[in-house]
Amino acid sequence: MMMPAIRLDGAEAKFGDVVAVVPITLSIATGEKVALLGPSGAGKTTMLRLIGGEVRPSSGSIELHGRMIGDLAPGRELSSLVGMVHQQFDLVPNLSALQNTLAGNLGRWSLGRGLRSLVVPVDRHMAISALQRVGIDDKSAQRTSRLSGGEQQRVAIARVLVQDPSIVLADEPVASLDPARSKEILGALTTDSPDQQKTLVASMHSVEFARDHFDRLIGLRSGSLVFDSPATDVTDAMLDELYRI
Amino acid sequence: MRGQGLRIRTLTTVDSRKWLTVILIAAFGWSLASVKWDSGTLHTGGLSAVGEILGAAFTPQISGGVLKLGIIEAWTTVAYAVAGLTVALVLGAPIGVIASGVLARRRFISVINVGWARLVLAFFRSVHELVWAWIFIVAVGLSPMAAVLAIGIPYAGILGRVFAELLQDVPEEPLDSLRSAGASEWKVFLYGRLPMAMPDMLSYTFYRLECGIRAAAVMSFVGLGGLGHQVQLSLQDLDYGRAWTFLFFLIALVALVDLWSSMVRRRVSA
Repeated sequence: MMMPAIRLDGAEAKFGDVVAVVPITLSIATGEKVALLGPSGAGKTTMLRLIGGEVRPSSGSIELHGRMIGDLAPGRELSSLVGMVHQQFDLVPNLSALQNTLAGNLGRWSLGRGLRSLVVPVDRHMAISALQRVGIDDKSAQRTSRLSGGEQQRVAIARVLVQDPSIVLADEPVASLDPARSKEILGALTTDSPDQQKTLVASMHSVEFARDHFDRLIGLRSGSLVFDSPATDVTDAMLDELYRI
Repeated sequence: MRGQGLRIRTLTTVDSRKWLTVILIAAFGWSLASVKWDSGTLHTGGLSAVGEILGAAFTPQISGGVLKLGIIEAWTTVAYAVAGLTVALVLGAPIGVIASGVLARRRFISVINVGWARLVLAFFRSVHELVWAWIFIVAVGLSPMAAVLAIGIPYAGILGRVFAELLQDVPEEPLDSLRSAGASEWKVFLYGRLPMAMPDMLSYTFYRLECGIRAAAVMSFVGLGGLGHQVQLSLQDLDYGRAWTFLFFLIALVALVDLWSSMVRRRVSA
């Protein structure tokens, strides 16, 4: 078997005494598209943040492409391996959509290049084509704070497209979008570039979209794994059990 | 249990605050009673002089000569203020960035840098601009340089301190997402902190420019020229109308800075 893109080995996340994710062991292969499902508070965001290195596991370990996440240098190395789209987008409101998108390059760029790009955008075509893929290249010059929630979400996705990590993590990437737009964005996120297979892990509230666009569905409830199956094998009974109140 | 303890504590603080208020008011009343009102506490001719000065506000001197002088002196005052603020920015902004400690990677070095930067800023601003003016007049003589430095140094201390706080107080989430995109702290500073703090930093700098114009006018009392000097001369001649003409110039300058500031802020703010 090939080395998995992501490997959790008994990884657990605790905030004080509260266990957000109970020890989980699983592997995700390179190129797999995985959706995390589950009621709110199930630990989907925490699991994404564990994989992205934003939350340290309280026990167990996480490997990305065979390397322990703690051994990866923050900055260029970590950002070329893994990138995350947060649910709150977390863009810089006073910068233009273009500059926020270009910020995906900051792991690669030297400081001087970054400084220069604030005056005259560097690699502009790259950002424009990313904004095109999410359908808002016409808003590139706008100040990000003036964009709607859905537009900001698409800028955040464009940024991760520019960052171009081999593993993309996305927390509710289509929560603020209408169904047609959601399809387009999920398409942009799940389409592999010709030279590289992208691994995608996204938390999803829409079961329907998750089934249509992802290979594998993982059900989380109260921080524990409820199911982990190929999308085609997930039955309505399993979903009812997952979302049971 | 915890909530109850909290409530009891707030109650007692409110009570003791009330008591403090009562005591302070009583002390104030008592001090009024001890003033001997009939023995020249108030200057007898004072009220009519105040009336005369205020009345003169409606009859400022608007002869060509006075207006021309006003424009020249207003220009001097603005020049002092702008040059002083430039010194303040060049000196205060970098020290402020160091004092904010946002660029430091290693904790130990960061503590040392933040420490000396804060100390320098505190030293700059703990001495009033007039006192700096005296010091610089001794050092460089009665020259515009003295006025510019006298404004620049204390304002550097104030700007640096405020900038440091504004840079620390920006929301963390966008910064974290820049870090996860691979940005170093310097790049996080350029792409996150600075743009997010910029509207407030600009707005505060403009406010300081207003203060700088006021300070420059006062500088001229020390003999450095400018609008304040003309106000002083007019008051010495008991020419209140003329004094008001120059005061109106001062008011106009502050209003202009205010207008300029709101125009710039509208462009930059989120």
